[in-house]
Amino acid sequence: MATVTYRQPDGTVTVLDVPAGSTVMRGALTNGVEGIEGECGGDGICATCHVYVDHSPVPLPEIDENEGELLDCTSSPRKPNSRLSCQLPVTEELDSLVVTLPATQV
Amino acid sequence: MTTNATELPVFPWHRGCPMAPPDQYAEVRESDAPVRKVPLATGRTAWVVTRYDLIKQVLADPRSSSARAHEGFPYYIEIPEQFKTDCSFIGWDPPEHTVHRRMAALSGAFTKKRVLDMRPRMQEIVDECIDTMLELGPPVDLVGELALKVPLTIMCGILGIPNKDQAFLHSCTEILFGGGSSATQRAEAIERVGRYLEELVISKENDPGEDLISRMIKKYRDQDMYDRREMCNLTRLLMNGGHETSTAMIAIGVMTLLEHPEQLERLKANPQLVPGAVEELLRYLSPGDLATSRIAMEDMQVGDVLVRKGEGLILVGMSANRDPRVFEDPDTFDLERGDRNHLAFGHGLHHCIGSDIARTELEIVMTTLFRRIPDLRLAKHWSELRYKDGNVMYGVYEMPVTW
Ligand code: HEM
Ligand code: FES
Repeated sequence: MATVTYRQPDGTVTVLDVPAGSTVMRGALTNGVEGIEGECGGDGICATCHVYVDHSPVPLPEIDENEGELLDCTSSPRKPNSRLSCQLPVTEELDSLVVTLPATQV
Repeated sequence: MTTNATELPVFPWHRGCPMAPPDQYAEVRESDAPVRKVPLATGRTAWVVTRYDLIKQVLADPRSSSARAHEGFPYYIEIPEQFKTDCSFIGWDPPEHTVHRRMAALSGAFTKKRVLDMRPRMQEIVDECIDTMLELGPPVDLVGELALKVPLTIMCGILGIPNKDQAFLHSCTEILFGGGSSATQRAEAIERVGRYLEELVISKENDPGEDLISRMIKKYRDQDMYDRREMCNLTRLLMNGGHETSTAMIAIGVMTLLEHPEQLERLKANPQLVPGAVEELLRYLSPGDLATSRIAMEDMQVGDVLVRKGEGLILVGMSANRDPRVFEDPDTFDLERGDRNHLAFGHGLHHCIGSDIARTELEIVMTTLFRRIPDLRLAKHWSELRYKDGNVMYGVYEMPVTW
């Protein structure tokens, strides 16, 4: 279990306990957090699960070529802290992760 | 209990109206056995899954395979052998699927930004087709002049198929999907397109351009993975995938709007409603409804049913898209519904690679057509037209319109 904070562009904040083994994207979808579409179900092909990572307690997995290309094509602009949330597995160590959702995914 | 397979007609079931699902979808979905073993027209049996949550669950489950060459794959209509074995990544599972889909996805035609770059060209193509319609004067067959031509021209542009060859491909497509042809003519057309695509691929090997095929060849060669036959299969997948579905959506999408005149008036007055209307049309019409079938690689529980290893699953997307558990008043067409979570493009790792291309095409067509021909109407009632019913892709063969 890790506590993940999702911030909406308008400032609304949702704090969730997401089980280890899930992903940051799935945590949002299963708890009805708005702002993540996840059209491809987490397979890293649709780029509708874009988030900005504001704070991570541990280094996140590297961005591979596929994620990199998809991030270049997101609907809201890519920033240095952009990630696809389906590519972020939740682990116990990730406790206190904070992400901001972009204004648009599609 | 309503679990007896013999009570239901042989699958595929038929739409009474292009805008309404077969009656059996709701009957099965709302019964106590929404996952039902049914006889298929090919003599096999398979599980038909009708509820939104269960369909999504199966599509996301790694135990359900897309292996179209597998002998147990639940084909419900006869398919040419070549389409089973030479189908490219739509018929593969990870890890091969992932590798090859990414090669295509990263060759620069499918992502949102690339599609945005193509938008001006798509607009030109739509305008040219409407110019021709206006020159011809009413009545015009909307399928031939718009619904077939727009996606074909766009796909040719993406793939780098020279303009001079588009008429040839268009004539083959009309034989293949036009309805007025015999089985022999269709077999010949498949053959001709096959030969054409091979020559095309060879010409891109020798003289690469800026197009998708050339970029994919380069990517494969850079990784020492190039195989000409596979490139031909992939090209055919993109051609077919990018064409028949969009054709259906344009034609029956226009029909649906014409059948809902009050909503169409609202749409004409507020073009910003178009993207939402396109999503609702996709949900409501689900032309790729029968495109999502799988085979169980392990025993798997689907709702109350234990599906055994080797059994086929047919995931009827149009039933999911009319599931009242997810969509309020699901059989009402409401262009301001504002839902995008339909399964018209599938779900999971095979989610349509061309969904952004298709959405953009549809947006441009619906905006431009009703702006330029505001008095458009059907020249024949929908009940008088012939439909491709019970096919992998639903569609209409011809749709005369007037204004
Ligand atoms: C309105 C138009 C369209 C509809 C309704 C549609 C529907 C679908 C559906 C339901 C699937 C999933 C198949 C499965 O899960 O087995 C799919 C996959 C696919 N579509 Fe589309 N499609 C459309 C347009 C396009 C376009 C424009 C292209 C090409 C540019 C395209 C290319 C593909 C390909 C290559 C796949 C296979 C993806 C994979 O296996 O990873 N489609 N489509
Ligand atoms: S959910 Fe599709 S890329 Fe993350």
